[in-house]
Amino acid sequence: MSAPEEFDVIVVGGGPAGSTAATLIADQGHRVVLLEKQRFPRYQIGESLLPATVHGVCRLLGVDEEIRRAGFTAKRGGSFRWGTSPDPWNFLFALSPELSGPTSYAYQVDRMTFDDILLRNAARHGVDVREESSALEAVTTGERVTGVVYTDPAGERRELAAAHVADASGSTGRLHAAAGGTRQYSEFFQNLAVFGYFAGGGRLPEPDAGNILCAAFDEGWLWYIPLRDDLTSVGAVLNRDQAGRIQADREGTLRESIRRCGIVRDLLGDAERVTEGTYGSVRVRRDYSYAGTRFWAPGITLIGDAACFIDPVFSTGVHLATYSGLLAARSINSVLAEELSEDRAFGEFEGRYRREYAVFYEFLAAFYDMRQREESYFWKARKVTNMQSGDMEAFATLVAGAASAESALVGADTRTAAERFTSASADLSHAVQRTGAARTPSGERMTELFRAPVVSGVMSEMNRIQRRGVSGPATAEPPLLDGGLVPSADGRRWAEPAAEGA
Amino acid sequence: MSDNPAASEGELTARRIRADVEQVLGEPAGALGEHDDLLDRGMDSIRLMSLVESWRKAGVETDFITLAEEPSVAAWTRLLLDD
Ligand SMILES: Cc1cc2nc3c(=O)[nH]c(=O)nc-3n(C[C@H](O)[C@H](O)[C@H](O)COP(=O)(O)OP(=O)(O)OC[C@H]3O[C@@H](n4cnc5c(N)ncnc54)[C@H](O)[C@@H]3O)c2cc1C
Repeated sequence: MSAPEEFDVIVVGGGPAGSTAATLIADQGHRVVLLEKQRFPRYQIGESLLPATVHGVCRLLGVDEEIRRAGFTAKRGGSFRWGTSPDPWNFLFALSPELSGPTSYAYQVDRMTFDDILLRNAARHGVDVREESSALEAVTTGERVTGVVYTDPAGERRELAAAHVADASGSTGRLHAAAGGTRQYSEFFQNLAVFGYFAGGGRLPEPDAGNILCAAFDEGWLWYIPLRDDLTSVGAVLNRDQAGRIQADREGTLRESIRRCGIVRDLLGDAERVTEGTYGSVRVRRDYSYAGTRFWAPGITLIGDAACFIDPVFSTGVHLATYSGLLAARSINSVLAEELSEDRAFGEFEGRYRREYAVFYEFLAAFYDMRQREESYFWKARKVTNMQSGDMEAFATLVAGAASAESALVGADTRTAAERFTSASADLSHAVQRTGAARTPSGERMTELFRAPVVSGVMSEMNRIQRRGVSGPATAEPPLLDGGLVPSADGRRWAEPAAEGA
Repeated sequence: MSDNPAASEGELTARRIRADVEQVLGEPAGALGEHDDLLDRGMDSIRLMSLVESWRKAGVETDFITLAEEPSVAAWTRLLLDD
């Protein structure tokens, strides 16, 4: 093998996490190469987006106009047949119809198109994008990751060297081990998913026709995503002990789940499942709820699914991927500019990322806990009171890894994680009850929901990111973590808070 | 490129609250009635978020929802300045 080619940064993986990080680093004039195993466009699950990605990160990437023109289905929130009420209720992005704003919607995207737009945009921003290039292993020098070995499209082994490697290779990549940690799998979110696509299918009444619908039934829940007028993404989330049944008959398991879930069965009517092309297969995903014990080590940063994922409910995956891509870019840019030490810059990255993961973890746990027909095994196992101590500990470690601002979550002087989850869940259930059914006046006002602490926790960073996307450089962003940093004026590096606005 | 709304600094006073609101809405000074519904004057979620962040920075405890429920200069002055 010849001498390694040199770059400032190597990004592995061209999904939303990798494209985000690569673009924002190249924007600062650094030499960035991105290795992607497949040739785009390629299929991926994760079609329902949140506003922070669309209006915050995509703006920063300079790709919001192109996304807007791509013709994706607009969603104003999520609709849920979930909990005690027989009627669906809405989680809308706007506080109320009167107080909506430029960021009160997001999109349902076919990921082939969305990820391709982001990757091409990275190339336009100067990233050296290499498709059909699969990373094999990290190169280390002493304790530091200093490069990557990969195979090029001709099957030749090649070596790259760089000051930083960002691993964005998703759930299947293996590079994450080079950060020195392990993956901790959740017992609580012990779900698996089986999913396919239908031609046509009914829509919720306007203005909710573009919303994702999540509908619970005894053995799990279904997502129903209106991707295009003539295409609906439908997936069943089931307990992982269904793996055998799924292995024996994927299609049958999906169909039976739909049959068991009235609202989705009725919406689908006699829409046919797509059986040809990319959307033609019934796919399965499992073991996707985990978090790495380390998110970075000298020379390597983990972002997106390479670091962690929670669960499909509430569409958080692409948000966590693009958010962590943004955080990593800020940290890498600050270190390359010699403005911050690695410990300080990546401490901020890890602290913010873990905080975001933790607030969503708590929110999603509360979501599963909302009262369902509890005689079924699926819902019984997802009461937070039945949460395994392993999960509690993992959660505590996870959050303790974050900066001290969040020590209140696990501090010895405060309630235990178990009590914390229980009260978060009660708050959420009551807030949903007070909000009421979709298309009633109270159901259009998200005041009750947004006031629940577990919800305001997940909204706060997302709101900041959206605001920065829309208003441009912001001056008033306080540090998120105690003793932490704030984004620089251009949003692409970190700054000490004292230096800001001085 | 920045139309960064709430750029004013310093201690929060009734005068500053009004000035900040007028600034984010692009209204001339004195154009807003004390009790005008700010939602009718073009207040949206992003503008309100900016105000909340900037007023918090000035040291007051407040949040988006509290202000959103009573959207007028008079109410906000009361909510932000009364103990
Ligand atoms: C059942 C299910 C439903 C979901 N639904 C949603 C949803 O509705 N909304 C949502 O936001 N999220 C959802 N998600 C999560 C979402 O799919 C992921 O969080 C998101 O795709 C992560 O983006 P990423 O960039 O980290 O990784 P990916 O999108 O997986 O991209 C990783 C890339 O790395 C490449 N790669 C892998 N190995 C290598 C290698 N060795 N060398 C080079 N390249 C490599 C891959 O080819 C791939 O292109 C769902 C997940 C599951 C399991």
